[in-house]
Amino acid sequence: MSLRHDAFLYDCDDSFVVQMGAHLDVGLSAGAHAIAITTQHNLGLLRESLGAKSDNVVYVDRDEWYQHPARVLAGFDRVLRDAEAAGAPSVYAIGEIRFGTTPAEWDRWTAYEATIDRALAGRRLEVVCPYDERVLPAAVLARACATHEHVITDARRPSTAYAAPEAVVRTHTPAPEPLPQLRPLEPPDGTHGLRELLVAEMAADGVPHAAARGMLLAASEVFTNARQHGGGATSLRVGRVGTHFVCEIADAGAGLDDPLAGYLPPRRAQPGGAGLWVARLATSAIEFLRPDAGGLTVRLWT
Amino acid sequence: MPERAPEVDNAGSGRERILSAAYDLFSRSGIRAIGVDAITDEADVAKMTLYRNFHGKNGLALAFLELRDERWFRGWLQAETRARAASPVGRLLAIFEIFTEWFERDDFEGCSFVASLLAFDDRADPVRQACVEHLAGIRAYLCELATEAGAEEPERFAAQWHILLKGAIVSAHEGDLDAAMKARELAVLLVEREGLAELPSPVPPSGYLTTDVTGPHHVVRLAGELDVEAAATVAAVIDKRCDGPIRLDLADLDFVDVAGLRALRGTRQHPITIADPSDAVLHLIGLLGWDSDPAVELRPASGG
Repeated sequence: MSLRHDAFLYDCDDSFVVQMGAHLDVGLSAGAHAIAITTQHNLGLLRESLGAKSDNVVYVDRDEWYQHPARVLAGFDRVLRDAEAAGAPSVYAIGEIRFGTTPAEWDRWTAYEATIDRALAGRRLEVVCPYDERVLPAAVLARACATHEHVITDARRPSTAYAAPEAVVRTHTPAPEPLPQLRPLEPPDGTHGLRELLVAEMAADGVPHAAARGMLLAASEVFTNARQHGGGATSLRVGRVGTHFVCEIADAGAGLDDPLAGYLPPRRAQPGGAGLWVARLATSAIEFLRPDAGGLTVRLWT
Repeated sequence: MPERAPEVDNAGSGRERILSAAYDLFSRSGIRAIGVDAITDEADVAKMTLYRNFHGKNGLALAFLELRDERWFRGWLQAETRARAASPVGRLLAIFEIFTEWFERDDFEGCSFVASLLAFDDRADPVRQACVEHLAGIRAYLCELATEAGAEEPERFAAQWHILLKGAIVSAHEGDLDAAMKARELAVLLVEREGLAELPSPVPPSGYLTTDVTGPHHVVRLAGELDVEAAATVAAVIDKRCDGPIRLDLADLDFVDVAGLRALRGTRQHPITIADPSDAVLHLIGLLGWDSDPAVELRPASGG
């Protein structure tokens, strides 16, 4: 068994309860772990419908769960590992995304939907993503067919509009702004020197402790990548952009053309690949810039 | 003011107040620089009380050095080295770490024994003789550790170690707050020359590692920073020295990256226990999902 990641388009409470109640019910009967992440209203409907079986379902408010795409992937990864450790055959999940109100947020969460198919490929997860046709904009609803191989309406059907996750993520990742206000700094020799520099810069900019800690970790990992794969950092720029502190590290290596880099949960068996995962989790956002001159520029946001 | 005499006559409290004032003033400014008046003023006692209890400034200086030996050497330095490492070499090297923390304190006051030794040039002066004795007492502790560690000539080894310690203190007075870590590099050469077991390793660029064996566990203690630059060294040291379950003491690890944390875990089949992890360690463990990994046991400070 491997990952199943469906979209479910619904337009009334009854339809939601019937389909999603049945989904969780199948999982519970098979001894799977069950988790429902949706609106407070829908959580109430499910609780009522499942009755005593509700005791075995983990209910999560989607406003708490869907805040940061990489952390959501880490959350599912954790749920899956917990289920494996407990000997459960699989996890049955409902994940109703909070798409937000702006086109930028729609893009962000559309890209997230696409990453699931790669990040959790091969995992024992049966997740259905409900899309409420009553409230979501048409653009978001249309994209559900591009990010899910199967779509449930009155019945479950393969989606003809399904697209490769990499293509979807590329399409919905905005082009990075140039940010000329960042201050150029001399790239230090080592990771220790980098952290010393950043500690001073972030203190000067009044970055709060937790954000600064995440930035130090993420920047160390990106700097290490630049040294191991990019021939070393060639430039370093930092500065405040709005409420964020930004650190940009550039190298002159072969570049990285993988929009999903850092979205795959690290496994113990793999020696590398965890650096960008950690960097994504420790920051609010990462951007990859591919300068015309070649190389890779990674921009980290607190 | 004869009417105050009966109160001050309470020898215990007067003596304690004088000694306490002398301790602060002498250890900060030196015995030579402080006059009797300054002490009696600070202690708020009559000069007579000082003479009655200590027979003058010299007697007070000797009592101060005795108290300094008790507080600074036995109560602090010796106790700290014992708390920080179980092995004799670990304890010997811990002194440099303790000194670094001491040097960085705003109220770093230096070594009263060395300072007084240099201030009293008459070799027959009892204060100077007392300093020599107290310094010998510290060297005796170093010698005890060197003997336990298996040094061939423990007294010579202890004398060399002591020279490094005293040199580091003088350098710290000059303003070199890193003096103890520089002295430590020389100390490591000494340990290597003697071929003593369980040599702690510096972890570049600013951390260090010690290992000990306590009960069924190898205890690996890391302080400072551990990142990709030191990961291979740390993994090699742990692999070489530890062949059973490991308990990691990471309370003072201020920064760790993915490569560093992986090095601690290595390719070992044994489970690892992390006692009292620092905030930085817990953060990364959470991001990597190791906190729900059955092969990693996290034990907060209270769990020992």
